[in-house]
Amino acid sequence: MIRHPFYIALCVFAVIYLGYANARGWSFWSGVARPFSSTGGGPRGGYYGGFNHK
Amino acid sequence: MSERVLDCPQCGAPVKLRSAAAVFTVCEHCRSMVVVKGASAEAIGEMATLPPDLSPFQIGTRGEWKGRGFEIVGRVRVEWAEGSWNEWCILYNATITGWLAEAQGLLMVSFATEIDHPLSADARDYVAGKQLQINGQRWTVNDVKQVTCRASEGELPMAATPASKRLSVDLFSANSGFASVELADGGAEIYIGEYAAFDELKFANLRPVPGWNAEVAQEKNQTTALSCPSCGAPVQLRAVGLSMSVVCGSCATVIDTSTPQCKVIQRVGIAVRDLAPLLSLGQRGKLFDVDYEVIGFVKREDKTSNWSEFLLFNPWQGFRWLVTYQGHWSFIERVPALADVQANVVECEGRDYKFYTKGRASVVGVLGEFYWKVQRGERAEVFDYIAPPYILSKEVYPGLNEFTWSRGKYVEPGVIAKAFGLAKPTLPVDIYLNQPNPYYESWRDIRLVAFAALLLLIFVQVRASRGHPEISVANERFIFQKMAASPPPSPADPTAADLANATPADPSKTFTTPHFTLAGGEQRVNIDAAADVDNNWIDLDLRLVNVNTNASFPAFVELSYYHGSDEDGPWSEGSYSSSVSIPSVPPGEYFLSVEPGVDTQTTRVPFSVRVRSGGLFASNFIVMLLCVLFYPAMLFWRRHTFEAERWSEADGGYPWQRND
Repeated sequence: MIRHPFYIALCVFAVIYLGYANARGWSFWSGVARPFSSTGGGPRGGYYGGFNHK
Repeated sequence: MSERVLDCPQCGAPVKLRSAAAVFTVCEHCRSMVVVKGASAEAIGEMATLPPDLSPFQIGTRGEWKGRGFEIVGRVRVEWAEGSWNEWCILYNATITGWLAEAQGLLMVSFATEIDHPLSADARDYVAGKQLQINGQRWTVNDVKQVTCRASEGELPMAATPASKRLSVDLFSANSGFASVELADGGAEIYIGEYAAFDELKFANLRPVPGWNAEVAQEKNQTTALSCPSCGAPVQLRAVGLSMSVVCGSCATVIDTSTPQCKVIQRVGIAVRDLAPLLSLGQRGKLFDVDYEVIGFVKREDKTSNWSEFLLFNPWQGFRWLVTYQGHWSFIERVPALADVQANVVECEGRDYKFYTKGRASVVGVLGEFYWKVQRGERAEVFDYIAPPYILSKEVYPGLNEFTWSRGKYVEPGVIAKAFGLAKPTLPVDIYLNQPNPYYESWRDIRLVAFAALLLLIFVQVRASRGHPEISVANERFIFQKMAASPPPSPADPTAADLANATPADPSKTFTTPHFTLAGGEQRVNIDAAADVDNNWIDLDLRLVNVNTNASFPAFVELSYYHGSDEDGPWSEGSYSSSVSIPSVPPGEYFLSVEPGVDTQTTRVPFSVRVRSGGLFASNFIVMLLCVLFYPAMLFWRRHTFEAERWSEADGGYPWQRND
């Protein structure tokens, strides 16, 4: 019988999350928010239309 | 093995002698005591009847000791003032005569041994606690008693006639060493050996035990029951031949069962029905894969509390105790060879026990039968040492100049309930002295996982930091200037060159960096801003814009620096520089737009921005580290509070606060 399965699962999640978040350049808070955002979450502000920079 | 066969001088039946050392035997046919002298034999009378007992051994029982076999060839039933026991004569390795003593549920194997100096034959030289140096080993006397041979059977190396007397001195040494010095006829002989567990002797051809072996019917006759000498009520014996006292269930009289006379030990008026033991006498249960029968119950108390002790019996394993207090249970067995030490830490069988408390316990109620002559009011000094879940207790009986050690282990109430079929487990109250610390147990379970997770997190973080180095992709310097309010910069102004990139005056004007490329996958982008602020501030609305998709990533930086002096001296606040990071920016070609904002008094602020790609957010590592460490940290704290509560009842508090 595996004892403390939730803690073991948490440890596994922590290691996997850290590897993934670092690879994607997430901050923890943007990473946490990302799954709950319809636009993909994070800091994306939308689209630039202030002036024609070209 | 050289077997000798003689004719019984009394009845003529053949008498077999397997041991060369045998000089005495009892004829199996007529029970004559036969003294063997060379090839001749002499009958010296009829042997007394052996009292019935529940011993699992018999003549012919075979066993193994230190890799070599032995066989039981004879027995002496020995009595003393407080009880009796069996000494089984064994033929070890088919040649050596030795002894297997069976007393109070303990087994001792010993052999006659030559020693380096003659032993004193004076009984006064042997007192409990005295230490002797024998064959380079230190031995401690723990028991001295005058014993009498009650009866014997089989072949023996000496004449064990009924009523023959001798002084028996038991000694122990480290590592379960056992020795017995026998003083008789002006001489002293020593037998040296060890305490042994039933299972390690690998017995075969054991005697079927009535009531315990299925093939032998329970015998409920005079061998298992007696009449109370006080009230005449029938009293059942459950450990016949091993128990030394029994309490009448009707009148609570304590009866001596060590002799056939069944004398009254104590007659008291306390009604036994006041005692309501959780486990009934005669109830059997399987604990640690061994069937035990509850044969006795003792209620004891000290100054502050009272507790219950159940005596368990198994014919092969001997006696054990179940001690219960406020719903907690401990399974206890005797430790025969431990010195009478007074210390804060006692070492027993490789485990260090810390002193917990001491007190004077007295027996306030008894039921059932016991391997000593129990009495109500019996007092003992009790010293408890703990190494949870283990407990080591020393009981000192001042009047008897005797001490005993016993070692126990905490048992979960559910285990007891299951073993003895209780309707529900007892509910433990508070923390018991040897109760295992559940937080320590949990910590022990997860520590490897926690440590591995910690190492993996560090490894992943270090590896990622090496794989995502920070690279500067843009570094620009701007001057924010309100044209109308500010004079044109002089040619000597070192920032004049930057004005080529500066936007004149319009506060809504946005500055932009040249295009730069972010290579690789999604990544962090860090923007460092610095400004020549001096008692003023500048806000920078930043926007990282993808040239191809126009997708933008906003950020904001405020730079302010104020300084001055007051009555407390010079002061300053704010900073010339600041940074902001944008997470998970996809690869592509970008520029950074900067929209400054200043207060109305400020007309000109040079500032710079530097864009770096790569690097890691520390938040991922820190939060994951907290996730992994929080539970162990909580367990550590709870473990500490648990121990604090446990030791709050101890003499002297925490052991690490004592001056050991």
